[in-house]
Amino acid sequence: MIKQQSPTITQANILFFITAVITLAGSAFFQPKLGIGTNLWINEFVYILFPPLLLARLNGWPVEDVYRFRKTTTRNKVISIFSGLSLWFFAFYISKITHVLLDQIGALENPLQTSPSIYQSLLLVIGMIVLAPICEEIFFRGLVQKAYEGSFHRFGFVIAALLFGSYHVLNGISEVIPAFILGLGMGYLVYKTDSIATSMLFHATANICAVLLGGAIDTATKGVIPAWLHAIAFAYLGLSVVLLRSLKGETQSNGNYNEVYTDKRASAAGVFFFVLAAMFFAAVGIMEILVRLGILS
Amino acid sequence: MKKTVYIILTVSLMIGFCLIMLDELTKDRNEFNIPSRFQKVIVDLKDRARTDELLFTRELEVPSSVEFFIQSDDMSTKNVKIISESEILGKNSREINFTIQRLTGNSSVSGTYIMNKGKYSVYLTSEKTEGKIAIGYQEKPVEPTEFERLYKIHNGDLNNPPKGYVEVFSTNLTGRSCKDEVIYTLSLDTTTDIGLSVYTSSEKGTAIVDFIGNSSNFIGLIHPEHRICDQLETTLYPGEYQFKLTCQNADGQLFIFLKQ
Repeated sequence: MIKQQSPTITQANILFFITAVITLAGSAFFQPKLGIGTNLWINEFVYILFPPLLLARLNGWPVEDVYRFRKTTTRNKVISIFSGLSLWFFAFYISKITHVLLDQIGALENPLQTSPSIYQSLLLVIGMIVLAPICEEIFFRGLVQKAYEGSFHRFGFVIAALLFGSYHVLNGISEVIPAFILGLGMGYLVYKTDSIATSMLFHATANICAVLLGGAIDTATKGVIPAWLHAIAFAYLGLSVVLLRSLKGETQSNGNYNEVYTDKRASAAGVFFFVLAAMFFAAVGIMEILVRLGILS
Repeated sequence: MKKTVYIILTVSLMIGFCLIMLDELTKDRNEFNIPSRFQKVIVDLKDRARTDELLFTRELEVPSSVEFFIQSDDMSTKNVKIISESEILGKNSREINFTIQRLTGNSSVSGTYIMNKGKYSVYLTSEKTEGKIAIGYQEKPVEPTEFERLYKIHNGDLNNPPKGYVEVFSTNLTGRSCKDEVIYTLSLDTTTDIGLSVYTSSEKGTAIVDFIGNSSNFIGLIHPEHRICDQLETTLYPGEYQFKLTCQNADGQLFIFLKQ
């Protein structure tokens, strides 16, 4: 019998659902007590990074191969950084538009919140630009995309991006489509280069832009979408497509994994957890809509 | 690459652990964040339960604006009562009540009141519990002419807007019954700095005015406990904003003034 050498869709779906639920429940519990920064670190280390590493350990998988911890060329790294920068602009633009549309339903009131201490702010920034790119990439591109590539091959990264986008409903509905768009970019990088380093660099660049530029643009535009942002957003989208298409593909070092892959289709349990996750995210989204409509507080 | 990732994660973990420790160590100092302009009184709640216990009394030599800023690090419900010898402009009574649970950092219960000269006292009702309550207060003399204007409004002469404000709506509330009725709509094409002044002379029933928009909401600009909202200045994003009136068994007049 050939030993399974890659995560299965079932394993990915189960872990994805558990991670999503624990992230929401954990954040509701820990964030008010420990602060927004510490909570982000718990999310990244415990709920997002730990499951794929534990799965690899239990199955005796070499993480270098399974999660594609491989070196890539400097050219690919540079392309990853610049495509992260340019696609972030487009994702930010989509986020603004979604925000405006959602505000038509009803604005979310900003409850009085304790502003984070300097240490919590530092934890938040480091978490966003160092931890999230590593931990989330190992989970979504390493585990989830790898699992779906087993059955869907070149479209595996699209499904991983869908799951990555839907996971961000926990940050608000307006984050779903932008995260999906960025997920597509990161998934394509990994698919094309066979190295998770590229998506980590892309992710880090996008998050640095969010930290440095997101607030600055918001302040400068005072919540309105200026005409120049429409033009720049689509120009950057075009640039990111050109950059991503200029990637040089690497030889998939585990090109024979399909032969040892034992779960090419999701089992009933896999489908069940996929549906469960979809229902969970739909419920979170509906809750936000109800809050916006003033039906829930 | 695996080694690099693990090194980054390990170094991050060490830095993060230090930051979390520092945050925990300084947390106590961050619990109360009363701005430095306030004088403050901090009461330890663990020694005894209190029922309307006098905390302190202040005397205003001239009509003043008194701002209160209250925080507590304890979940139980506490009541802070302020009783003034003289009128509190915009209020039918000479008593202010604040109910507070746990509010720390930048969260607080706060309010600004214009009081005529005289004494005011602050009382506390609380359970015996672990925790503290911090009461900040700041007194600023009000310009005599400004006080005179507001005093007229307080006594029912509502048509006394501040300079630069124009009337956009007025009505007699007697016999009027409505819920969230749109009484005035403000449409903005650009981001605009505006000022709102809403006054009512209603002394009975319910008269509430809310200001509702896409990006900003002000609930209860005026309500039965507070009849004067004077010179609320804010920046509004483009969009439509509505003044909504809820009114039942009220009397008197209602005026809305805007500065754009």
